[in-house]
Amino acid sequence: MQKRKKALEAAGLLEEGDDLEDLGRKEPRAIKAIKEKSPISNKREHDDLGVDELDRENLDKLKKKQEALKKAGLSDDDLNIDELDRDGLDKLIAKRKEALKAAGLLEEGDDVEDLAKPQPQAIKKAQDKIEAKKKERENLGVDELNRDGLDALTKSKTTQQIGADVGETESLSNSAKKAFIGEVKDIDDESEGKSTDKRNKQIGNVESKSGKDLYADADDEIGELVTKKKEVSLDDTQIGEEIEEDLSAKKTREMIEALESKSGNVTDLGNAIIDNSEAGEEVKKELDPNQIIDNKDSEDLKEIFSQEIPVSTESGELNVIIESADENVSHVCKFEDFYTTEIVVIIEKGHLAQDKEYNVKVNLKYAGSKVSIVQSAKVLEIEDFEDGKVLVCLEFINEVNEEKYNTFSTLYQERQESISEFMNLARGYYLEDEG
Amino acid sequence: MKAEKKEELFKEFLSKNKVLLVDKSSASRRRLVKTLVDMGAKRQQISSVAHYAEAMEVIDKEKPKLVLSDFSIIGGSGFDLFKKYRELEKKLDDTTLVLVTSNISQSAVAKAAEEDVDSFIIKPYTVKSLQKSLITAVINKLYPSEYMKLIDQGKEQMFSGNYEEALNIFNSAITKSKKPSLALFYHGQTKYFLEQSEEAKGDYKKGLEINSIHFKCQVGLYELFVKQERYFEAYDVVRNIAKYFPANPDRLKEVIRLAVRTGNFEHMEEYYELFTDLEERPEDVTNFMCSGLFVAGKFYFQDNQKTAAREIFEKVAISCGGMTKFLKGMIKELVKYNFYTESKSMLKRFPNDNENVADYMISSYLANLDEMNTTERISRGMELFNNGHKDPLAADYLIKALRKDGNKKADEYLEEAQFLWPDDFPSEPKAA
Repeated sequence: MQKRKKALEAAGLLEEGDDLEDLGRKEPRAIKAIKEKSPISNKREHDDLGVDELDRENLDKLKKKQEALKKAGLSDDDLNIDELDRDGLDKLIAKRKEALKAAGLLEEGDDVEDLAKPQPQAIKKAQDKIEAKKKERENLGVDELNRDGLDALTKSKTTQQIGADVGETESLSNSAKKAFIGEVKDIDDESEGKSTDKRNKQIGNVESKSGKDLYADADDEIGELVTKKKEVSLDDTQIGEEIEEDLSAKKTREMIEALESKSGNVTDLGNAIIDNSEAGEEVKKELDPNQIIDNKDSEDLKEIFSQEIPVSTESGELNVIIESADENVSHVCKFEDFYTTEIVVIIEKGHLAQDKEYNVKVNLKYAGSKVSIVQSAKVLEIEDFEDGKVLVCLEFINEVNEEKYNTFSTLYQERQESISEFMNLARGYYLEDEG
Repeated sequence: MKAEKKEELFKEFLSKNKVLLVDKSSASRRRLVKTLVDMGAKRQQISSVAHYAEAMEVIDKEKPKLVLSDFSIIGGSGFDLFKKYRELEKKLDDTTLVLVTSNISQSAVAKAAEEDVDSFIIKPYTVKSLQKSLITAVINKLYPSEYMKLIDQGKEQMFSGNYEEALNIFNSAITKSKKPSLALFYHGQTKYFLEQSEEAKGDYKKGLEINSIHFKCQVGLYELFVKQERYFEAYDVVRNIAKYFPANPDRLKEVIRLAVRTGNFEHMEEYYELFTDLEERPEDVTNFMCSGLFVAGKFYFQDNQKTAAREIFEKVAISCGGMTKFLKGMIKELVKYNFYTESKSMLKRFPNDNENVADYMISSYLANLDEMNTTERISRGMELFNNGHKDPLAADYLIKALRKDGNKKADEYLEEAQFLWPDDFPSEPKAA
C-alpha cells in the first residue's frame, strides 16, 4: 500500500482518503480523481494507474451510456437480473441497445449487458489478471527448500513447480537447468547491463531465458502497467533494483526459514544457498504489480552510511620481537604489557629461559606514525598460560629511552582516545560530557 | 561536577567497595593493585586472580562493585565474565565493568561497545590515563546524567507496558542531549511495541542521522527491515553493522546470508577478510563463509569472471578444512569449465584418509576425465555408479561416453538417472 501511495503521490494523484487497495476494482478512487480533475492530456497518467484501456474519452462515454441506461430504467440497479431467464436477458439487451441508440451512444462492439454493471469488464479483466498473478507468485519455489540431501538441493525443482502451477513446465525447467549446468549464455546476456533490456527482462519478458514467454498476454499487460507505474517516480536503473527488491522479499523469507531449519547441516546449508541463487534467477522474472517499491529507505540509508564517522577505527599494529644474541634466533611474541622497567609477552613454551638475557624490540605503528624501542632485558618470571604458551615477564637491563617511550605512550594515548570516542558513539551516550 | 569533586567521590568509592582484578599476568596484576591502592583502594578489599573460575568465585562471594578484567583470561574472557555477572545480578546499576587489555584491535573495541562494557582501557596505561578512565566510568555509573536517568526511567515504563508514559519520558530525554541517538532508539522501540513500525523506523533513522554508527539504532532498523521482509534494506544496515562491529560471528552469518540473497556476491571477499580476523571461527560460521564464497565462485564462473572464480574457490579450499562437500562441489564446477589442472589440485585437498569416500571417488573421476579415453570413462564411470557413488554430473559423462561408444547400456543408465535426478535428466542427458 505504501508503494502504491508513493507512486500515486509522485504522479500528483494521491488524495486524502484514497483507498489504494481498491485500485483496479469497480471505480477506483484514483480514477475518480482523474475524472474530477481537469481533462488529462498525458495518457501516461492513465497508464500509471493500470487502466490504460480506459482513457478519458472512453470513461466519459461509459458514464454517459450507463446514465442513459439508468434513465431508461434498464441498468442492473433497476432490475433483478438473477430472475431473468435467457429470453428476458435477450430482451433486456435489445432494450438497452435501443435506449443507447436513441441516445446516439450505441457503438459497434458495445457489450450492453456489461455497460450497466458497476464494474465494467475492462476493469474486471485487469483485476482478474492481477489476482491470477498474485496466486502464481504464492506458488513459487518453496518446496525445494524443504528437500533433504545434497542431490535434491542442487536441482531447481522450484522451476518445475512454477511450470506446473501455470501449465508451462517445459520452458522454465529447461531454462533453470541450462543456467545450473553451466550453459550460461542467457545469464551472461542479462549481465550485459543494458538498462532497457534489463528492465524488460526483469519485468516479465522471460523469453530470453525460457525460450517462451511463460505468462504470455497477461504478463505483457501487467508487466507494462507496472513498468509505467514505476516510471512515475523511478528511473531505469532504479527500476531494476526495485524490482529485484520486490521479488526477493518472499523468496528471502523462505530462504531464511529453510536455512534455519537446516542449521547444523553444513552441506545442506551451502547447497540451499546455491540452490536459491539459481532459483532467484527465475524469481526475478516474476512481478507482483500490486507492489511498487519505495526507494526512500535505500536512499536514506545510503546517505546515512556514507557519512564519514568522526572517529578513527584503525587498530594499529603492535608486535614484539625477542632475539637471543648468542643463538641468533628471533621470536615474534604477542604483546601483553609494558612499563618503563618491564615488559610482558606471550610466547610458545620453551623459547625463552629464566634469567637469560635477550634483545627486545617493541614496534608500534599507528595513525601513520611508528616507533621502535629496543632494549636488553632479562627473563624475570615465566608463568603458564594456555595452549602450550607461557607469559614471560622481562626486566629491562638499561633504562628505556625516554623520548621513544614518550612517543610510544603518545601514540597509545591517541588510540585510547579513539577507543573511548568510538565507545561513546556506538553506545550513544557520552560519559565525559554528560557526567 | 568538578574534576576535584569527581576525584574525591572516586576515592571514597574505592575505599568503601570491593574490587576484583582479573589478569593472566601476575606482573600486570601487581601493577594494577599498586595503582589502585595509590588511588585510595584498600589492599584487603582487592581480589586479584588470573582464572575465570576464580573470578566467578569472587563475584559469587564478594559482589565487587568494580571489576577490571583482561580481554583474554585463563579459562575464558572478560566478556564471558561480565556476561555471567550480569546474568547473576539482574541489577548492576552500581557496578562498573571495565576491560583492561593489551588487545587494541578495533574488533575487540566494537565488541566491548556492543556488550555495553563501561570502559575499555588499553595496556600499557599511564597512571594518569587509568585514573581518568576509571573516574569517568565509575562516576557516570553512580551519578548518571539527567539524560541517562530519563532513559532508565523510560525503559522501566516501556518494559512495564506503559508505552505512552515511556514515550513522554523519552521525548524529554531527547531534549537533554546534543546527540540523543540512544533516546531516539528507545522512543523507536516503544513505537515498535505499539506496532507503529513506520514511526519506529523514523526514530532509528533519526538516531543514525545524528550518529551513523550508533549500535542500537542500527540493530533496531535492521530487525525492523527483516520483519518487514525488506531484505535489501536490511542488508544495507547489517553490512554497515558488520563494518564497524565485525567481531560477532552470528552477524557475519547473517550478512553472508543476505549478501547471497540480494546477489551481492562481490562483497563476499570483504566478509572473508572479517572472517579471517575473527578471534574464533566456529564451525557453523565457517560453513556459512564457505557457502557464501562457493556461491560467489559459481556466480563468477557464470559471469565469465573465471580468474575471480578460481581465486575465490581457492579461499574456500583453504577455509573449508577438508569439508569434502565443498571440495566436490568446486571440482564439479571446475570440470564444467574445463579447468582440469585446478580440479586435480583441488583433489589434493581431500583429507588423506578419504580415498574410499564417495565424495573423493566422484571428484577423482571428474577431475581426471581429461586423461581418460572413452573406454576408461565408461569403465570407471560404471564402477563408480554401480558401487553406489552416484552423481548426476558423473552420470552424465558416463552416459555420453556410452552413447559415443554405441553401447546400449546408455539407455539403462539414462533411465536410472532420470529416476534419480528427474530435473537434470528430463529427456536427454545434458551436455557436459
